[in-house]
Amino acid sequence: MKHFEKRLPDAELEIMKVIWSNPNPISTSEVKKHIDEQTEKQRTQQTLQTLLNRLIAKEYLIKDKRGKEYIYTAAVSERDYVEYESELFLKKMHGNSVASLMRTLFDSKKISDEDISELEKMFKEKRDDN
Amino acid sequence: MIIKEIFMQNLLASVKFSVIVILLLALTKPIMKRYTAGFRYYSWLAVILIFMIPFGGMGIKIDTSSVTAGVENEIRATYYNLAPKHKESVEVTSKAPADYADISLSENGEPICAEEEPVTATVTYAEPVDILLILSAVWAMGAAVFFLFHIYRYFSFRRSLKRISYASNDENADKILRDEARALNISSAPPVRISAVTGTPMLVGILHPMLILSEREYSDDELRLIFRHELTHYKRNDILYQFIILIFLSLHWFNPFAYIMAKAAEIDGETACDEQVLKGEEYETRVFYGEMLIKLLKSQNQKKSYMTTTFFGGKSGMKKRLTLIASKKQKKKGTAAMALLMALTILSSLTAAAADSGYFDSVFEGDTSYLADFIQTPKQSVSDENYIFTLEQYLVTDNAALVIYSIEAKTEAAAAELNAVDESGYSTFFDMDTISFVPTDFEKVRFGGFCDGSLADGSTIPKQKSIIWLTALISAIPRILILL
Repeated sequence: MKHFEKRLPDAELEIMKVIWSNPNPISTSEVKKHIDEQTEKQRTQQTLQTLLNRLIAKEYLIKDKRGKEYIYTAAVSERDYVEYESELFLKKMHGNSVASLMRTLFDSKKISDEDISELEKMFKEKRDDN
Repeated sequence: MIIKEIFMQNLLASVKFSVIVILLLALTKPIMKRYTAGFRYYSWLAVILIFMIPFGGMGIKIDTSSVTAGVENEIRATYYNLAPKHKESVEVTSKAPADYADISLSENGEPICAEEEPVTATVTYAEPVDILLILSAVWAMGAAVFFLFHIYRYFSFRRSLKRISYASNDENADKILRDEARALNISSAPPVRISAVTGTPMLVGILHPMLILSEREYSDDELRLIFRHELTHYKRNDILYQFIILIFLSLHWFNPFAYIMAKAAEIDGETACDEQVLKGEEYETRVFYGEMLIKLLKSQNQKKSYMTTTFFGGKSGMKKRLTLIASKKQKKKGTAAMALLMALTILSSLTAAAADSGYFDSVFEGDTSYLADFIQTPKQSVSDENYIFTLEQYLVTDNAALVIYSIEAKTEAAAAELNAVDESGYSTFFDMDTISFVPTDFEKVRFGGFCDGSLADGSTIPKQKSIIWLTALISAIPRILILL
C-alpha cells in the first residue's frame, strides 16, 4: 500500500475523484469531459495534462497508451486515500470546539463507555418515573 | 489614545458581564430551571448583544470624554505631559574639591588649591512606561489573533470535510429531508453529504451550509428526527448565533466567564433545539429520540478517534438534554427580557449598594445587623405571570455581599410548585445542586389568599407558603464591584 506523505492539492484531488468514480483505464479526453461537467472552472487541456503528470509523478496514476490517446489507471484506491486524509482530519480536530461555526447533534468529544452506560441508566430511570 | 479608551471600556464591560453570568447561573437558578431552554438560550444572546453593542451603555462606547473623569485624571495627564518622553542622560559637570593634602602654600603664604578636575555624573530620566498602552495593545492583538485563528480553522475544517465526504445519492433520505424541510417552512434545504469519520451528524457553514451524516445505516424514523434537529438549527440561524459568540469571545478572550457563558449558551441551544424537535410529539417519540442519541454515542465510540473529553459539555451537557427529553413536565416560556431584567436589576442594586457600604463600614464597626431595619434599601421587583422576584435587602462589604430576596408565587400552580417536596420531604424547588441557599426565618403575615404565621387569637391557618425568603451570601467579591 502506498505510503502517504502529504495531502493532494484541491485540483489534483478533484481529478482523482473523477478517475475513481469512472471505469479505469480512462482517457484524457474522458477525464476532461467529466471534470468540465462537474466544476464551473474550465480547465484547458494543458492544465489538465500538467495535473495528470504530477499525479503520475506522485505515483497515484499509471499511464499507458491506447492508440493515439493516453489512458490512466488509479494506482491508489479511494478508500485508502480517504482513510489517510480522514486520519489527518481527526488529528487536527483534537480538542476545541468553543467558537466553532457549526452545530452538531451532540458534542462529539469522546464520552467514555462508562459515562454512556451511566447516561443510559439515568435516561431509563427518568423515563420510567414519568 | 482611543485604543486605551476602548480597552478600558471593554474591560469594565467584561467585569460587569462576569457578574451577570454568576448571577444567571447561580443566584437565579431555581427560577431559570423552571423556564424552557429556549428562554435561557435567548437570554444569553440578549446579554451578549447588550455588552457588544457600542453606545449601548454597557459595552464599548466610542466617546472620548473620559471613562474615569475627574481631577485624578487631570493630574495624571499633567504629569505625563511634563515628564520626558524618552530616556535622557544629562551630563553634569562640577569641579571636585581637591583633597586638603593637595593644598600647598604659595610664596606669600596663601593657599593654592590643586587643579580642580571636572567630574561628570550622568542623570537619567527614565521614560515613563505606559502600562495601559501595553495592556491595550496586548488585548487588541489577542482579540485579532483569536478571531482570525478561529475563522481560519473553520475554513480549513470545512474544506477538509468537503474533500473527505461525498454527496449522498440516497433518494429515500432525500425525500425525508424534503418532507421535514417543508414541515418547517424551509424553501431550500442544505445538501446532504456522507463522511466516514465524523462522530455526529452536523450542520456546517453560514453562507453555504451542508448537512453531514456519518457513514452508517439509519432507519427512516432516525433520519426524520436527525434532519428535523439539524434543519431546526438551520432555520433558527444558530450558526449565526455561533458567529456572534465568536466575536464576543474575541473581545473577551482573557475572561474565563466568557467561555463559561459560551458553553452554557451552546448547551441551552442544543436543548432548545431538542425541545422544538419534540414539540407536540408522543412520549414514545421522546423515548425513541433519547435512545437514538445514546445509540449514536455508543457507535461513535467504536470508531477510531483522537478526541478527548472536555470539562464542559460532554457528559454533563448530555445529561441535561436527556433529562429534558425524558421529562413530561411542562415548563414555562418566559421571555429573555425578563431574565435579563432580573440580572441587571440585581447588578445595578449591588453596585449602588457597593457605593454606599464603604461609608457604613467606616462609620460603624462590629455587628451592624441592627442596621438592617435602618437602611432603607430600595426594594426592586421583577415579575412575570408566575413569580415575583424581589430584591429585599442587601449589604455589601469589602469582601462579601449579603443578599436577601424573595420569590413569590402569583398563581396557585406556581405556589404548588414552590411548596412541592419529594418523598424525603426535601423541597424540589431547590434541587441538590443549588448554591448557598438558606431559607431564612423571616416570616411575614400576608393577607388575602395564602397566609403564613399565626393570627392574633392564636389559631393558625393551614400554611401553604406563597412566598419564600432566601439569603445568599456571596463571599470574596473583590473591590472590583465598587469600580462598577
